[in-house]
Amino acid sequence: MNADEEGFDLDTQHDGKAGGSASPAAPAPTPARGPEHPVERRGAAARPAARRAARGPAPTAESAEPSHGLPFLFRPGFLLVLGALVLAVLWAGGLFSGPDASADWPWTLFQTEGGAVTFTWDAAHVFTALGAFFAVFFLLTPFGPAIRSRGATVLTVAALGLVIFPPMTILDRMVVLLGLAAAAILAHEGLHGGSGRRAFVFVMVLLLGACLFLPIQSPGDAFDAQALRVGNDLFVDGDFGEVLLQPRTAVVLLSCVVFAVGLLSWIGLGGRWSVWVAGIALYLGVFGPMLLAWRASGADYATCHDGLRSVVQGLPAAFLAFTLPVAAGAIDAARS
Amino acid sequence: MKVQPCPSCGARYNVERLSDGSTFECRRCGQAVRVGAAEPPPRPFSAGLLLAGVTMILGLLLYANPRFGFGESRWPWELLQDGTALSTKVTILLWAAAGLWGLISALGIAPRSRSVLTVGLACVLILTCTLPEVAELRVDTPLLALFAMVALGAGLLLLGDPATAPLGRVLAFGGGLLITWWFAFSFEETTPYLVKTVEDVRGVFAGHLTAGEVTRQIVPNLALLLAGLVGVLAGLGAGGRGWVGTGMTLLLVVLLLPAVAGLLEEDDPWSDAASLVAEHGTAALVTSGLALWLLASHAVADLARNWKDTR
Repeated sequence: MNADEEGFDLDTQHDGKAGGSASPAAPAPTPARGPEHPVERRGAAARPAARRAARGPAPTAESAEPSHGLPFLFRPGFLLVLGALVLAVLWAGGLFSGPDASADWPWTLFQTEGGAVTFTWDAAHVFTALGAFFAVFFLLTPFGPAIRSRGATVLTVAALGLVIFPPMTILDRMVVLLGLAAAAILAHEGLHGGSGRRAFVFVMVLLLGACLFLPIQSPGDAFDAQALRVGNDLFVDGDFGEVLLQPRTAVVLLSCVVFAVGLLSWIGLGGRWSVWVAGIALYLGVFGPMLLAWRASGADYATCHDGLRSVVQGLPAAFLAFTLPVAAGAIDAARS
Repeated sequence: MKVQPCPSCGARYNVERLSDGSTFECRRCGQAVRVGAAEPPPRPFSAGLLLAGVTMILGLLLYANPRFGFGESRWPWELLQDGTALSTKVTILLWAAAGLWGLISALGIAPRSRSVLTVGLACVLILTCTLPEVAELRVDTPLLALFAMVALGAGLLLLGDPATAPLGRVLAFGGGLLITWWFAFSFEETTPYLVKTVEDVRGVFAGHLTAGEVTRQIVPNLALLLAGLVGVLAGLGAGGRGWVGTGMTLLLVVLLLPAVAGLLEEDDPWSDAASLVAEHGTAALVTSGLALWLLASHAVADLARNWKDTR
């Protein structure tokens, strides 16, 4: 075979060298035809190479294995800042203070009636302080490249945040997995493709599929898988419009979308469209249930704190709030 | 012609025009291929995965068999033929598939990318068996604690090889930090869990606690805390064979001691040996999460080693 005919410039990202014209011509896969096939041809065979040189540089490895690029809205830094803001808003609604805490704003926990600062090592005080720490950490991380380049750091901090919450229900697990699966698709399709990221997509699709389709309980009940249960409520037993506007339905339906896109991406049918679908599903997965819970609570805009509290208490809000930082950390870790 | 195969998918490339040591990306699978690198030796046998697979299958047989089954009085394959609940069938099928795949992987029959599926199956089971609603093959260890222990275990396993030690440190540090964080920031009513643990230890010396409480609760809790500290220190650079052995032993104590203590508390352990073995064997291998922990941590370590080989 002729390497010139099928060759392309190497993407030298793996050996740390700069890419571009200094890159040697890349080899193309050969079906092991043996050394009798000439590697270099002369004469007429050399002319296509000359014509190609006249046309410009050969296609690069980037184009051979397309990198679709991540739109700004789905980049880890932006997701982290947005996640920090969501966390801060829900923190203000009492996300970390617990149901028994005062109905007032969370920072009043640290003030005595006389206005002095107070702190006790109990769940409400510690978690409220930690909530503020998480929000500030995620907000500042994109501006500290030394930290952000270590996606593992962000993931670890996000995981630490999740540890302080009580046992996760199936819906909580699905919310976190929705973020991780969307991150896997964004990393696989948006960054330069690689087997590691494809394996990441595979594992996340498997886990999301398990949450959606595995029958968990209710012996003898045919509709005990989450996806089937929601489908049954939507189309058979329940009022379609009413069920559709429940936060649980939103999480399950968006998880189904991400599952399908992840499956297509894993088998190689993904593309730029899957970056957009996964990214939008990630956003809807966080903000959709929150808005629906707000609406269900009566959308009390006049008393802002009461409205926030109703969102916090009606949802796996903690897991929704950590979804964006978890996704950002996973994309960052896959990139580095 | 100079040919270099991709170490991951086997695609062959003509690399006559490339110098030794340069790398390029496989167009078929995206793996980095280094020119001149010898094909990584296959990993035909993995003792850890073999142990994990055997533990999974043994746990399933202790749980379901017609002689002295703890949960189901039929062989696992018989459950698929009758009117058993769908959730039970699926859980048992997944468990058996994960165990068998672990065995196949351990013997080198599966392809090199085997570990991804093993990790996936183990994670699915961890995700579903730790749900509070689950009745079949239930695991009592909480989800995040089990994931932390898996990360710590895999990290400790990777510390032995200098090539995988950096990744091992990250995993061990992450797992250890999750565990120590849980102790510092969990509360039992208003008392921090760490303070409660210290008070319990004081209670042991004051004679307020029974031997059963000590072996079932206090010692495993202390072992978990120490294992977390070992992970954090390993992540910060501490190492050595003894360090790895200590961490793994502490994790095994956490998972196994409650079941062993339960067996020792029996008034007449040998009156009905078969059912006792089934009950406490299921508790030790399945309910404690030992089988899933072994499978997941060895699969993650195996995946990291394969990944390192193909870089």
